Amino acid sequence: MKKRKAGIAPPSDAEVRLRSELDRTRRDNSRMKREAADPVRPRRSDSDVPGTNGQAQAASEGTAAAPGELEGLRAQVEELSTTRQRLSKLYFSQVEENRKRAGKLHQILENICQINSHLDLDDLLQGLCETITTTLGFGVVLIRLREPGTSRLHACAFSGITPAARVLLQSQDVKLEEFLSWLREDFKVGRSYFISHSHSFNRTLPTGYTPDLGTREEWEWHKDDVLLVPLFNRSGELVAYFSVDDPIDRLVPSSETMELLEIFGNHAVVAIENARLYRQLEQHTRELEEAGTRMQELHALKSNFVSTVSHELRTPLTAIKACVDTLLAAGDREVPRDRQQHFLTIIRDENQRLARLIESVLDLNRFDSGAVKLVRQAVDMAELLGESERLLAPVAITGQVNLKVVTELADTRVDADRDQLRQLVLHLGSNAIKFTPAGGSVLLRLRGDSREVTLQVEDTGIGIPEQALEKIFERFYQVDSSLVRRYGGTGLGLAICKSIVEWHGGRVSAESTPGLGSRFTVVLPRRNGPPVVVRSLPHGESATEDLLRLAIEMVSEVMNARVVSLLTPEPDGALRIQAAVGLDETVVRDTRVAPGFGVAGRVASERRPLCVAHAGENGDQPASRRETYFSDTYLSVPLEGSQGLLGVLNVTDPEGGRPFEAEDCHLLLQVAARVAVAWQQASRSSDGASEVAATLRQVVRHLERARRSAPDRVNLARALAREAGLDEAEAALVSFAASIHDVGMNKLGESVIEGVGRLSDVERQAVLDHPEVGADLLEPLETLGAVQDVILAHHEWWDGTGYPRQLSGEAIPIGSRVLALVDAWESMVVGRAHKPARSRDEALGELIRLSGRQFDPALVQMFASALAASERHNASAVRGAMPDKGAAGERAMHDSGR
Amino acid sequence: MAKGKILVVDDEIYIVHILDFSLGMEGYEVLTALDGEQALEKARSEHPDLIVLDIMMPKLDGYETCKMLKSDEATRTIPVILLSAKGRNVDQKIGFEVGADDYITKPFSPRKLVERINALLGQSSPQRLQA
Repeated sequence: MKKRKAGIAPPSDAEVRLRSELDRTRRDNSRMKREAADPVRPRRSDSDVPGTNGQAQAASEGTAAAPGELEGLRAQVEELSTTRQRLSKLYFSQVEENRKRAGKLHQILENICQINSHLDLDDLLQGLCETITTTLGFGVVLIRLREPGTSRLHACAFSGITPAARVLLQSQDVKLEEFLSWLREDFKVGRSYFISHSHSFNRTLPTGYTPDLGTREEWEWHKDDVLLVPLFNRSGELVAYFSVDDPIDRLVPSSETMELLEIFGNHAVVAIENARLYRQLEQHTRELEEAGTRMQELHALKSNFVSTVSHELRTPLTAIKACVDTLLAAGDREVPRDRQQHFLTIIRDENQRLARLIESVLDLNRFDSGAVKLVRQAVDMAELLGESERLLAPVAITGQVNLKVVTELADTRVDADRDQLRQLVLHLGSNAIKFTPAGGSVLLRLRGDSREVTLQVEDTGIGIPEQALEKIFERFYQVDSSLVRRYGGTGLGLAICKSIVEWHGGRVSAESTPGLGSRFTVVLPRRNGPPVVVRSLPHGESATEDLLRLAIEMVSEVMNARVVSLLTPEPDGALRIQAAVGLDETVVRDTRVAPGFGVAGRVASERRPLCVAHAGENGDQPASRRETYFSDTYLSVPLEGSQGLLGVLNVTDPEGGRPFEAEDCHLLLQVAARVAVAWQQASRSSDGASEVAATLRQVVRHLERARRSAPDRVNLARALAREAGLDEAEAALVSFAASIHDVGMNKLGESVIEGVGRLSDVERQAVLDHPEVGADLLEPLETLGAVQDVILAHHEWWDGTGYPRQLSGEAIPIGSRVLALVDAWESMVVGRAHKPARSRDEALGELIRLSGRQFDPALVQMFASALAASERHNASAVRGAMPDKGAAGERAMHDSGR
Repeated sequence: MAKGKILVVDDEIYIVHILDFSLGMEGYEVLTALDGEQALEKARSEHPDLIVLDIMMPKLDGYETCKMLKSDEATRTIPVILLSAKGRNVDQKIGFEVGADDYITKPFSPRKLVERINALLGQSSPQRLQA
């Protein structure tokens, strides 16, 4: 048990001294008073006391003063006066002490005022620490601050702590919860907490921090004593705390000192909150200022734009007005006919210019305001350039400029807004032609790699001065406005081009040599969706990489699968992913499958396809796989080359979630056979590679275009082929042919394929040619030509009146006969733009009506049951897509998690 | 005999055509230039009686051209009418600071321009200049 409670300080030396002096003085005084009132009696009554009594007696008894008594009195007087001197000294020293204390209080008040005037939090807290040290005499002060909203207390201001210890303290935050557990009721003194070393209380001090404050005696401060002052704000939240140590007087602090500490604390809370508010205010102010600057810039831009636009609008208006006024003002005077004509031409031209300008301004405004909605689709840049070439040809011929298009890569597709890219190409192309003198040439060139497609527009024109190159994409920047006007520009065309490119996530630049020509380069990212990742080939065979990318896309489209990967064997027999879609780049880079291991390893070593409907049933799919792939159904087939295994093709995560079945496996084998042929063709020469890639590009384009109707067509073709007695492999071949049967139509515009409007003669011929075009196109994918045969004859009629070869009856391959029916059915039931869809009964009636003329009568008879079979299949596909299979649900989670 | 020789300077070829015609109808002889440099050359070589000068032109704009005309002994007495799509006061102020004699904003009526030309040529008659 402690003898003294903290906060009741022991009397100071001065107090003790003062009290004893007072006691003595009081004693002396009362004795002197007594002696003065009755000088004789005490002497007598106090006769038992010798010494003084004898003296007093002598003084009172002798009327003639005895010299001894006088001496005694004098001595007493002297004693009295020294006592008075001592007393007054004591009194003044007390006054002095009070004055000092008042000074100290004043100092503290000053400091508090200072604390409140600090707006920088770090400065404030540091100042506070030092003030506590200097005014209250604590050698060590630590302040831990709690960032609002967190539950950690971070050491942020110190006094009397070595730099090394600071680092240590700063590295170890105190958890709010832990700190609050220290604030026990039995430690509480006022609003502070004194935790004596003698309390069996375990504080977690940062390891390595042991202040050594010397030896302790009673009432002395012990090195393990702690005094904590928690600082709460008005809403009762802990803001910070002080921890003080090493008092200069080496004593447990008095309650007075503690109160002073608490006063500091109260002001600190206010000051901390002020500083924080100030910091927030400063930040808001900064943000506002920045926003203001941006606004000003925007405003300047805008007003500049408005004044330029108004100038550009007034110029054609001036010409128009001047023409009209002149014609009117002529009055009676004859205006020559050629002049009249000229003025009318000016009016028309300037009117057009006005319209163009307004359109451009509106275009730009749409981009600026973000109101542009890109309608993204797969755009074949090569095809787009072909179309632009046709549109630009008349301009080029007029200007006697040689216009050429060069395509230097196989896959020229980008995911983009077709109309906007068309505007872009036409503008850059016509610009180049405009600024190229007669006899010059303009080249539109396509290049690129797996990620980007680059369009270059090169001319041999007048060129652009170097200092103007950076500015030509700015609005209304004109190198030479008279030139631009002469060529009918608005000064906004390139600005619009820039906006189009930027909205597609691309970039545009220009380079030029004045007098020799200019080159504009537009780089567009290929796609927005999951890209096909291709691991680079050792010899930088870009055409082959292109081809692999397209092959993967073809497989993904035909199989309706989101994840496709192609694994190839390394020299040591291990498999690595060469190309894939739907997998992360790191997975592609890092996956290695040991020979014979896993599904792909087994397929590679056994050279047999593997179809897994639900991995769960076999239980051989590790959980990690399921995280990579979104479904538990997959197909894996070997890719057989003429000289052995080329690789393994894996397909998983089918759209709709229906598990793969044996028939899917057969279809994949058909596709894989084409991929294998294509790859081998490509590896022979780079020309071969680009030819094959061109074919694949057409196939993929066709598949993308017909994506919606393809699954039904493929299923129906398979069902009908089976009804006709074909085996699974043959049925798969027919269904593959069904998925790409109109690939020969690609060259025709959308309108022809959709059947809108009347066909021109050229288009009619193209339609008649499409089976042959398609069959020719597929050449690089075929060894036996089976698919080609089916496609070539799918417009032959049973009665020999079809095209292109007027085959009849059984001379038409069975696959073609199947496909003819399926194609006709689809066009009737799905409908075409110019023809509404017919009811199923109507369509069946039509097939029966044409049985024996257009269609194989035996097949028409089987058609109804094949249709029923394929629809049962489709229905099961829908059931398969229910989330109870897990795939769809898991997929949804993945999607929402991204 | 022509009423006087007028140099029309504008990079807008159409404007030049129209002014050529309408001033021609008024009996003036019209010279044309498509930019400031050409204008300075023609002003020196042909010494026109008045110059109609567009402000927004490539190479040398109308202000600069006007300043140079007014600082050249050979051309400083030729009255200049500035012609521009800019209509703000500050532009007019600059116009007069560079020494232009009049200012017309686009779109303008050729008739109005003819009135101004007539007025300026009436005022700046040779006698008055000599006086």
